[in-house]
Amino acid sequence: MVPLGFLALFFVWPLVELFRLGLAPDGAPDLGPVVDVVTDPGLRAVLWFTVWQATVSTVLTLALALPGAWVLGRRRFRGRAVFAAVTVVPFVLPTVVVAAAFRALLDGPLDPVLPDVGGVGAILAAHVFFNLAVVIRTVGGAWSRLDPRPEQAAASLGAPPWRVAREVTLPRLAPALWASSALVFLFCATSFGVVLLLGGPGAATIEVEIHRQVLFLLDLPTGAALAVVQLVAVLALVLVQSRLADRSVRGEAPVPPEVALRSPRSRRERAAMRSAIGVTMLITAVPLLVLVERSLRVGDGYGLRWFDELDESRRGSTLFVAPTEAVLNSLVAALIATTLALIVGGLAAFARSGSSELRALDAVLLLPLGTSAVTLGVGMLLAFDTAPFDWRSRWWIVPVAQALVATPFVVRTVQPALASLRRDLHEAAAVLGASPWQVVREVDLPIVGRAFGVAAGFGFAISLGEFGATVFLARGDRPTVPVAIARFLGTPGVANVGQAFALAVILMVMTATAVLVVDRLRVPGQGVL
Amino acid sequence: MTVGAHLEVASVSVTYGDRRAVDGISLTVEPGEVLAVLGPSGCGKSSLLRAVAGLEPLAGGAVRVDGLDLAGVPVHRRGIGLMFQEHALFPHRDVAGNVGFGLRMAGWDRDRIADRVTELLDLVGLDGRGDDRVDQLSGGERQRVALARTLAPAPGLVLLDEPLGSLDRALRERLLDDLGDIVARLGTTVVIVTHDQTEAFALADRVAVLREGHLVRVDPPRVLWSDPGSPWLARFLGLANVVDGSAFGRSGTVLVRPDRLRLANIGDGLAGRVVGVGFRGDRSVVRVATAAGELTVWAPVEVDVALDGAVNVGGVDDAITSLDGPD
Repeated sequence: MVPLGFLALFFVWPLVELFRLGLAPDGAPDLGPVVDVVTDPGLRAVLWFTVWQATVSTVLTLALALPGAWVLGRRRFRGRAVFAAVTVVPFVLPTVVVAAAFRALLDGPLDPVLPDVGGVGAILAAHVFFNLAVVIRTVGGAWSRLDPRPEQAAASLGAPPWRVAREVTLPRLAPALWASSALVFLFCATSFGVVLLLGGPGAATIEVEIHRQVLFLLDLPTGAALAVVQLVAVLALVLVQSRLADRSVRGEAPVPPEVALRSPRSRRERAAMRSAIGVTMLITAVPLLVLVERSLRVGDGYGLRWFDELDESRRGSTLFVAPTEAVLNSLVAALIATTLALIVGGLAAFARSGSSELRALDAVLLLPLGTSAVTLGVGMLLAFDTAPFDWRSRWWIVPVAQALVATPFVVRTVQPALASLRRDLHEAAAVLGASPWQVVREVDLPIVGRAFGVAAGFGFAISLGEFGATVFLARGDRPTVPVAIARFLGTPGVANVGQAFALAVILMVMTATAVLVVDRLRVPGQGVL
Repeated sequence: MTVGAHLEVASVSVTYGDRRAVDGISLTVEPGEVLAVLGPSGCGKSSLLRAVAGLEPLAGGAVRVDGLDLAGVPVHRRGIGLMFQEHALFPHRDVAGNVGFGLRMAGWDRDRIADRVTELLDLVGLDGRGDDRVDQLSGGERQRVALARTLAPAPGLVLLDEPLGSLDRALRERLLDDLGDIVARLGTTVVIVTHDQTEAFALADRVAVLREGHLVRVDPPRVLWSDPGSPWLARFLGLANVVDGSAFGRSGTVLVRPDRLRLANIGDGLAGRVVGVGFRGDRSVVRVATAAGELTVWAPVEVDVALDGAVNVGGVDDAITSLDGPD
């Protein structure tokens, strides 16, 4: 009941308010705003840009991720575990850090080479960087569970390698390819931070347009109508995605890694492996290294000036407080958000695994995943502006929003652990003399505790980096780190950009620490993606 | 040495919905006796075991240990050891943590637990492996840990559910001997559930055969083997030549024991022609077409048999056992 109440108040109600404003602005049902959104040339351009950039981003990501997926799914080599871990790094980084890294890359080393890449190019590149892990992990994981013997059979029946790939491997990988493509498309279509910070005029997704309509044009109805269009489209996509993901579960029995993986046999194969690993590492590492380099670049030399000045509230700064205060705000908010998400998500996971009737909760719980953070932010802005719920300028509304964004991940992490509490373990403990409560203490808690640790780490990382909802709800004098980075990046001046990069590095380190701690806790074989 | 408990299963039934998995089974197991419950998969043998342990509610009947009715006694107070089919090791505890679990539940102090765990790891041949993680053990090692965990609290009655079920053949053979030794040394009462007659025959003093929830037979292995009594049991035990007795001047169905038949000289016994030869390591399985139908003969491997060759089958009269029990 507690999670339901929390979700109803802080999630469902804002969405209802949003729908009310978008579909019935004056009390009576009126499709006017929604029709306007779909017919207005400017807004249609936004819809079109959203779709085509997501499509191109997805195709590019797929193409660049396949070599990595192949290596991870089919070959044994030294450092394989490290390679697998490194590929996930971009995915767990906050969007503002990714945006800052690509700003650093395109304004820095790539500027002389590719002066005209501009906003759209930067957006596409950042999307590839961000989503590479999704494809490598999903497809590589599926690949490593595919029995290689059908391929060997095809070869022995006279099929040349390209026909083996086309007629045997590809059809069996197709479900994973479709599922990961749909997921990447979803992430790119709802991309906010990256597009807001890297895109110029004419490069706005629906999310960014909502942000502009609400915060700059103060046109709430249009923003709400856009959010409604977006929500419907995203829910349709989520449905398609989960269908595709379900399909990939079906079919062949998975094989253990020692069957699927083998060492390279020829020099050509070794070269192919090296280039696949090289491409993946290059895409993953270069933007982050350049970000670190830029954060240390002061004038023509290097130094810690941008870091040193973080505890000063500069005059003329777009931030009203010292940036270090933003770090503190972020930590406090993320701690509260993580606690809330663990309680709500943990209880929800318990309820779900407890009875099959509560499976209906699935839809409600996965909604936050489908609802973009921006939609959530706008909805909360709308819902909590009148007494007795005049909470939109309370500081704690930020961690509440962050908790909602993190909750689905908590559920997804805790759920498998609860499912792994097999009945026979309970029975084994009982037969050995454990009373029912001893069973809970000795078996359930230790096993689930680990999953809660993992969920806490990821929830903390997500809350730290949360930008889409926070940007609507954070008060001017209480910015979080992502909000501060966005403000610095949006203001010209060497000092602003330098501090943005320095803050991005700090945020990157905080996130990476949380995720690394988590990685040590993780039960082998239970991924989060 | 543990003192074995006396187990009495009286008209026990277990139902799942409308299905009666165990239908009115009665059995007694004497202290220190090893009883195997043998039957094909789905015959209700695991359900019977779980009912004794208290993990399945009884739809009827009673379970008594040393004369005490266990109705209403919860699982964790029964003091019965149960080794699970898939071992059910606790993934979050190391080997010693698994083996010592029952002792901790019984409130033993730390030093005594450590001593007892060492003793048991010795017993199952895993000395010094207490700190290993259970998910890194091989199948055979997991089986040994599960056995040690079950035996650690020295229960008077131990139930083993397909103890060697998930292991490959070579390992089974080896662990079968070890298990037999351990069980014989303990003096505790043991009930082993298995679908494998080799396992049942090798370990048990008596074998109870279950079929579709009913008890078919309870007898020592030798008696069961030499006189299966019904066509179904003869086939289940892998004995070929379950045939109509009229060809041999008998009424009803008979078993012509392949282990008592021999290949004889021409002129002695039933004349026939070899239609199949299979090498089984310790014997050759020869199929011979005779006037009385096709008969399978277990012949020593040294005997040279040519496919399609003419042979005679001897010892038929001694080999015939009537199977007058219901099929």
